[in-house]
Amino acid sequence: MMGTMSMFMPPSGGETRIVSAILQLGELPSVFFRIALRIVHHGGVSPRPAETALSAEIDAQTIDACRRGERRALEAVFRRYAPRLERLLTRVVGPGAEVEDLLQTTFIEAMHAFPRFRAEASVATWLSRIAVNTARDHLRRPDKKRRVSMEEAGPSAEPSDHSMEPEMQAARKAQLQRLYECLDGLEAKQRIALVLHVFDGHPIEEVANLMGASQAATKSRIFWARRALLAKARRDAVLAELVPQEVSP
Amino acid sequence: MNPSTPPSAPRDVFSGLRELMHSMPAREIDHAQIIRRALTVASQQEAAARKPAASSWLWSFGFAGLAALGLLVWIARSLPVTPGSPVTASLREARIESGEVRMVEGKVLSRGEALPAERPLLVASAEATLHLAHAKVQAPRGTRLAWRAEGAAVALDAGEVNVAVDPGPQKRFRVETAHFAVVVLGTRFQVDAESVRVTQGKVRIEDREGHVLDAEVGAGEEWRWQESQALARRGKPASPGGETAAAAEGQAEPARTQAEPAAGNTESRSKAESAAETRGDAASPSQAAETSTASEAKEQEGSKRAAERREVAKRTRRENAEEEEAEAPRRQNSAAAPWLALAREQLAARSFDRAQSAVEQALRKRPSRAESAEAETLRAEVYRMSGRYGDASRVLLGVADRYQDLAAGENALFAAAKLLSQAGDTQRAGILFQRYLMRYPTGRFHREASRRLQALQTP
Repeated sequence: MMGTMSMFMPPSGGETRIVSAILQLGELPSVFFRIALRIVHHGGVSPRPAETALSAEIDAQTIDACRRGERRALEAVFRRYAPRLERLLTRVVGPGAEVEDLLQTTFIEAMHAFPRFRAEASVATWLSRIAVNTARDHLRRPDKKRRVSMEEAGPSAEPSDHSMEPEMQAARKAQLQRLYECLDGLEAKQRIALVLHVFDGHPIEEVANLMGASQAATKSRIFWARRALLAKARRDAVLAELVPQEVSP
Repeated sequence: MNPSTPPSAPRDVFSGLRELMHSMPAREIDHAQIIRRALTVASQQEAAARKPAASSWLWSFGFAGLAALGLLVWIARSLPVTPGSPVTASLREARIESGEVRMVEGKVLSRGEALPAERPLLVASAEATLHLAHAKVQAPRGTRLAWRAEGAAVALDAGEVNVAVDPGPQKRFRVETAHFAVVVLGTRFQVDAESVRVTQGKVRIEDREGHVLDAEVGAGEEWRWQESQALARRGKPASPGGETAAAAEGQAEPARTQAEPAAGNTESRSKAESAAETRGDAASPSQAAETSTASEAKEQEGSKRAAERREVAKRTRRENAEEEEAEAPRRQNSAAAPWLALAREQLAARSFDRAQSAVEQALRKRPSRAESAEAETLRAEVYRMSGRYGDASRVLLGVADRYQDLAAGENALFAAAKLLSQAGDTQRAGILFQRYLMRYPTGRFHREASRRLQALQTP
C-alpha cells in the first residue's frame, strides 16, 4: 500500500527511489508473463505437469466412490488418465489395434482392484502400473511374437509430420515398423524398461516403481536392452541410418 | 519431465530412434466408448462372481461337502503307506511325498505340496518321492522332469526315475524321454534317458510318435535305446512270436537284455504259478506242470534270443564306443546334464542371467568333455544373444581349439567364423573359414564354409 502511495508522490527528494520502484513494478508483469509462458509451454509440450495438477484434483471423495464401484466416479477418473495410459501402451506395444484392447483390460483390472487401492501412490502411478502389467502379460503371450502392422494401426498411425513428402512418410512408416520388430526380439521386462526410460524419459526410480522391481534390476534390464536394441538397429538396413555406427578402436 | 527430450537418457545414441518413436502419434481412440465397454464388462464379471451368493444355502451345502471331502483326503493321506504297497490316488493328483523339487523360476516345493502340471521341475534334494496320479515316482537329485496330468505322463528330461504304478485296467501311465516313451499297466521299473529296467510286471516301449519299439519288456529285462537304434540300422533278425506288434509295424527289434536271467526266470515261474492260483483253478497238477513246462520253454527261447541280442549289442557298442563317448557321455549319472538342460531352456526363454548361471553350475559338476564343450558353447550363445559378439567369438574359438575331435568343436569353429562374418570382421572370418575347411575337409559345413569364404573373397 505504501509503495503504491509513494508512486503518486511528487518527484521531489527521493526521485531516484521512486523511479526504481516504478521500474521494479514495471518488471512484475514481465515476470508473471514469463512464469505463465513457462506453464503454457510445458503444458502444451508435455502433458505430465498438467496431469500432475489434474491428479491433485482427484479428491478423497472421488477415490472413495471409485472404491465403492460408483460408475460415474470411475468413468471420470478413467477419462482423465486415458490419454496418458494410451500413450504408455502405444509406446510399449506399438501402434496396433491391440492398444484399445489393452486399454480396456487396464480399466477392467483397475475397476476390480479399486477396492484395494490404498492411495499410497497417486492414482496416475497406480493406473500406469496396471497398464504396465497388462502390457507385460500381453507381450509374454507366445502368439504375440508378431509383427507390428502399420496398416493394422490405421491411418492415424501415419507419422505425424504432414509436411513430409509421401516418400519420407513411407520411409518413416517402414522404420517404425522395423523398430517395433526389433523390440519384439527383446524380453518383455527389458523392453518395457527400455521404452519407459530411454524412449519415454521416465527416471529409473519411476520405472522401477511402475514395474515393481528394484532399481538395480531395472538398470540391468535397461543396460541389456540398450545393447541388444542398438546391435539390432546397427545391423538393420532400415534403422542403421538412425543410430551412430560403432567406432572400432 | 518432458518426454520428448528426456534429460535422464544416458547417452544420445538413441536420439534418432527416439525421434522416430515420438513421430508416432496416439491413435484416434474413442476413450469414452472404451471406458463404457470396460465398465460394462467389469460389472458383468462382478455380477457373475456374485451370482451364487444369492443362493446362500447352496453355498452352505457346498462348503459342508468340501469340508467332508477335505477330511476324507486328510484321513487318506495320513494313512501309513508301506514302501511296497501300491499307490492309490486321484488320477490328477500330483504332490511331493518326500524331498524337494525346484521350479524353473526358483521356487522350491517340499513335502506335501502339490506339483504343478506342465512345468519343468528339478529334483533339488538327494532324492524326491512324488505321487503322480496312481504312481509313485522316486528321482535322485538333478533329475529334470515335467508332469502332464492329461494322459498321466512324466516327461523325463534328464536323470532317472524309479516308478511304481498301481495296477488297474483303466490306469495307464507313461514316462517320456527325448527318444522314447514307456507305456505301463501296473509295474515297477526304472527309466533314464537311454534305458529302461523292469523289476516287476511289463512295459511297452514306443517312440515319440507312438510307434511300438518293443511290444513287451518283462520283469528282469533291460531295454537300451542305443542298442535298439543299432539293431534298427542293421536290419531286424528273425523274431519268433511275442513281438507281433513290433513285427507288424515293421519297427526295430527290441534291444532287450536279460539283466538277471536267473531272477527273471524265478519271478516268471512264480508269476505263472500264482496266476494259476488266483484264477481259482482246482490246481490240478497236470495243468500246473503244463504251465510250468510252457513257461520254461518260453524262458529258454527268451534266454536264447537275449543271448543273441547281447552278442549283437556288444558288437554294436564296441563299434559305436567313440560315438557314444561324444554323444552321451556319462549322461546316466552326470550331474551336469540337468544344468545344461536348464541353461538351454533359459536361453530359449531369453533369460540370459539364469542361463549363464546354469552354465556355470554345469561346469562345476565335473562335466565330461562333451558336456564341457556344450556348456562353453551355451555360454557363447548367451554372449551372442546379449550382443557381446567379441566375447562370444572368443569363447567359441576356445571350444573349437580344445575340442577339435568332437562335433561341438567343429560346430564352434564354423559358428565363430559366421559370427565374425556377420559382425563385419571379414578378415578374421575368412581365416576361420579357411581353418575350418582345412581342419574338417569332409565336415558338415564344408559346402557352406566354401560358399561363405568365396563370398568374402569376392570384392
